[in-house]
Amino acid sequence: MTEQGHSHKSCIKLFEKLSEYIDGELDDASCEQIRRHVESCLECDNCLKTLKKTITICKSLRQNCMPASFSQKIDKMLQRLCA
Amino acid sequence: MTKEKNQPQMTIQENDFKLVDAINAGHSELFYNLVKKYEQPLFNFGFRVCGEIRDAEEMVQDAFLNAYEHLDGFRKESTFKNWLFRIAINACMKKKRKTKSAPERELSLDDFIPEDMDNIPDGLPEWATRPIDQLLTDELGEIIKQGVLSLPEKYRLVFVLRDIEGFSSDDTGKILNISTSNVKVRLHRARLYMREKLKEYFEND
Repeated sequence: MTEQGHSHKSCIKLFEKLSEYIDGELDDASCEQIRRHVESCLECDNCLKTLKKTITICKSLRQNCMPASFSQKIDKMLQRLCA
Repeated sequence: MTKEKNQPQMTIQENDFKLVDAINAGHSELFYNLVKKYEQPLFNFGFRVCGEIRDAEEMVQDAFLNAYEHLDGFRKESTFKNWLFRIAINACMKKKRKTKSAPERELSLDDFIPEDMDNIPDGLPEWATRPIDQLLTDELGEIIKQGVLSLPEKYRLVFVLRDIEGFSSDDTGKILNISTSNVKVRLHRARLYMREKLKEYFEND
């Protein structure tokens, strides 16, 4: 696909599905189509790998812990609410 | 095998439903169990979406107060967690005026179409090949936080629910009252947007 550039419709069509491909939400035929495509398309292969890494990084973020003072505030709210 | 092991495990959903039934039957003190179970993920969600600790705290508090008030109207048509997050999002919308929200706009797929090979300097960037534990720093965490906050709201909500809180596409659609296919479209664009933010960061590193 590289020789035809990324304005090519089929290339863009696959580009639209990359997230679903990563999430395992595509049927076997579509997966195979993408696999074959990225083998010969450096741009899409690059995009797929950087997108995968982006998702992995975002999913690995630490949780923002609740401040202890807020936890106490919630407890007081519950005491009032459930009394 | 012990007797306990032979008993079927109660799912999280069944356990939550049982608690809701008990609370609605008069055991209001059991609401504590539901709060303790979900306060941390709700706070994390609120902080990612609102960007300020104070707003996240208000959102959590409002969500639990509303949930308690309307618990007898919970029809078990979704999981309790989905229902609670839906309430939290409504609370978030109320906070919208107080926060510096990114302007509402559409993210176009055209903006993210990869460049032609001639314009790609060295193929795959180095950060895409580095192990994850070498990448996760406080500075990168801040870049992601700001990137998420700069996403237009409808993309931000989908991104945080799916890729940070770990909801499925179906559940995200139910929480936001949009179709699953709409979730997928928004998620893909939000991810491409975040990829650009990471690329900018690592290229200037």
